[in-house]
Amino acid sequence: MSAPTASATLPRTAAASQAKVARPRRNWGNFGLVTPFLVFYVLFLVGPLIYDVVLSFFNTSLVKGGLGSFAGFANYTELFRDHQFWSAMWHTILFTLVSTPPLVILPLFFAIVVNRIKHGQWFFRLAFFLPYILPSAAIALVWLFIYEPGYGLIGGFFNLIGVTDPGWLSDPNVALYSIVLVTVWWTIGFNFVLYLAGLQEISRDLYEASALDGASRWQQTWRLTIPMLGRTTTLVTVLQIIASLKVFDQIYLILQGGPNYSSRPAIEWIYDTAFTSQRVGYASAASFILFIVILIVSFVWLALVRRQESGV
Amino acid sequence: MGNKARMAHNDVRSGLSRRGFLTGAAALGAGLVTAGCAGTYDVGSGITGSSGGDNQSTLVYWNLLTGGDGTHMVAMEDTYRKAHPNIDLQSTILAWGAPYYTKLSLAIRSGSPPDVAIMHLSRIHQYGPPGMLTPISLDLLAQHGMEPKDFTPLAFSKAHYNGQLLCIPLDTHPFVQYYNTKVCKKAGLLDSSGTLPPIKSADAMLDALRKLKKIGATPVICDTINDPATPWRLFYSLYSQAGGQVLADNGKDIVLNEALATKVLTFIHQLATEGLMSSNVDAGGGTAVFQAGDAGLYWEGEWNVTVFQAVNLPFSMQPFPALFGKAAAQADSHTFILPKRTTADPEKTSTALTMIRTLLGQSLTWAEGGHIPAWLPVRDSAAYKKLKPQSNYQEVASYAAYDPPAWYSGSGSDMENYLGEPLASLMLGAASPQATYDQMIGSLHTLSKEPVPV
Repeated sequence: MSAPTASATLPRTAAASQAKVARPRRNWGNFGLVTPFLVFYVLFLVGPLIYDVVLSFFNTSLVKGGLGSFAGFANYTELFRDHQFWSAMWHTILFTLVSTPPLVILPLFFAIVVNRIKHGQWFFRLAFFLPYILPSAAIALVWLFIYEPGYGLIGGFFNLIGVTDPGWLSDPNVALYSIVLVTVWWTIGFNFVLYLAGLQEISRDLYEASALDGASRWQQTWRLTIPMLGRTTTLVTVLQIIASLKVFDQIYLILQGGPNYSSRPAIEWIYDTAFTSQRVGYASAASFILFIVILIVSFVWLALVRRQESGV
Repeated sequence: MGNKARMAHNDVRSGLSRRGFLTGAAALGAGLVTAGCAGTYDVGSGITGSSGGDNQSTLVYWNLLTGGDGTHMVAMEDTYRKAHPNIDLQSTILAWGAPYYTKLSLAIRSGSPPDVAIMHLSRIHQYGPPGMLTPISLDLLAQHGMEPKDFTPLAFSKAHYNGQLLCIPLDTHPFVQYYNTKVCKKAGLLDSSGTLPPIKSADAMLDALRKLKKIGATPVICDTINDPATPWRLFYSLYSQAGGQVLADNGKDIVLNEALATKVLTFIHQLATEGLMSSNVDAGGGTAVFQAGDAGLYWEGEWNVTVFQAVNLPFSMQPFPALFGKAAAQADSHTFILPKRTTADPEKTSTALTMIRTLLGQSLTWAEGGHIPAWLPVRDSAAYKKLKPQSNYQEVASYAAYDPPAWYSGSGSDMENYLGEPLASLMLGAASPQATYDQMIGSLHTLSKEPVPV
């Protein structure tokens, strides 16, 4: 704040000195411009993160004031032995492993197909993207109806053909996969749009040239389109892995982590522990572990991709 | 080219003061943002609906009543508003269970609680010990037209913690048995007056359900999906009938009796494996199946009564049948609490108690939603006795089985969730009675050994 005041009092004749101080002053200006962002960043990201780490060393309770008694590493040692937490972590990882491939491959396929359509393309773009704008609460209501046994949309169909439907939401071996299906339908539009944007960046000339060289449509797709979309695919995969590791809403709203906790993800375990068991300190330790896991996964993936890209 | 570049360069140079201005503006903007944070209390209270100021004419009331209950409560609030036009009653409805209780705890902790709120009686063991509720003296209660003898004795005695009255009961809401009169008549279960005679043993229940199955009806519905509370209510009703206890010493001791529990679990398992109970539904789905008129019995809390009345379903209700000995049914009570404030405000407390008394006076409206009024002047009135089928099961208020006291028990609590989930698996036929018992006892031991957060 002192910089503009200083410049205002500088004598106009001291041109040389003004040129010298211009550089740092310019940096201050840039700093000022990003300040609003930095304030929010510190306030809502760095601050809570530090607070989380602090809480994880205390027996903080939701219903008692203050931090509570000092726990040292007790929360972390308890956490490493807590099989409920690790089973929830496994559900999150399983969900990521199962949901990421279809959410990377299917939108790619649909984007390539839709990009070929000459007339009425807008309709398909809209159709694929529409579910993505719905809030998770609406998704939960729609799919609870679809999965309802006997008279739900799918259940009714199974009834019609005289087959008992699998317990979409009641069978512990099926429920998590039912949620994967919901998630694919719900979020496919986002990845689809990213691919479509990537497709439109590929120069038409390349297709003309390859056609002149006698490449078939199939060869064009395999040898031209998909390699040219490499960067987009990387981006989509990283974003998808991170999004899948953060799964919570749809599982909580449709199943509440059931049946018998077979679908409870890590974030729901953290939520349950902090807000139903009132153990905020313990839950903070768990959320810090999850944060580290997501960070490591993202870094490993990015490192792999960098190496791959520099190798090309 | 050189000329142009130089000119551009000059522009930048002469723009330095402009940049300076921008710097200042940006910094000022940031300052405003941070300054705004000092005012978050006002922003926060705007969002949460609690009163930030000390305007005496407002009364902030939080509850978790939705659906039919919500409609009845709004009608009762409107009556209060008409009688007290000088009080601005601000009512906030939040979602049942953890979402509500989280916000209530945090609001009390942060020193800006609502003036009055609804709390389940079974939650007194979480809110009582850390001193989050304002004790209400009997003198103060009497000054506002309420005496201990005006309330259901069981609910009123449970409203105390450490000898202090911490909440004022509004109702008792038990787990009950709905039955479709048309379907049950077809199965030959009704007596000459068209009512279902009390079913008095597990075998008699199996008989009745098999008769219902024979005529092609869904014998009984009891939901499990996304709803661990209902399986817990079913188990705890039956287990209490058998005389079982789950916890002792405020939750530090586990006294779940293996023999009694196994008897109950085996019965539930038989219902599932014999195809006598339909559990593959969530709460909404269960209601819809019974509403469609294809089911004989429906085990659920009494709060769905208005749903079925609205569609003119031929049905009635009765206390949950005593299949394992004495009469017992899992139940809870909605109560009014005065959350603890940082500084006492006798005038506000008085306004709140008057409001509570006014709402209690309209217990008949409340009873239409299915709940048994805790306010005896209404419960003993002729008008309530005429209210059918709601008054059929009013006796349950005297033998209601409340969740066992512990810091981890009560409505929407860890205990209900951790026991309800394995019970749901049992009801779906996916787990054996032994596996269910093992998981239940394991979870209880884990819960009882956790550091006490209250």
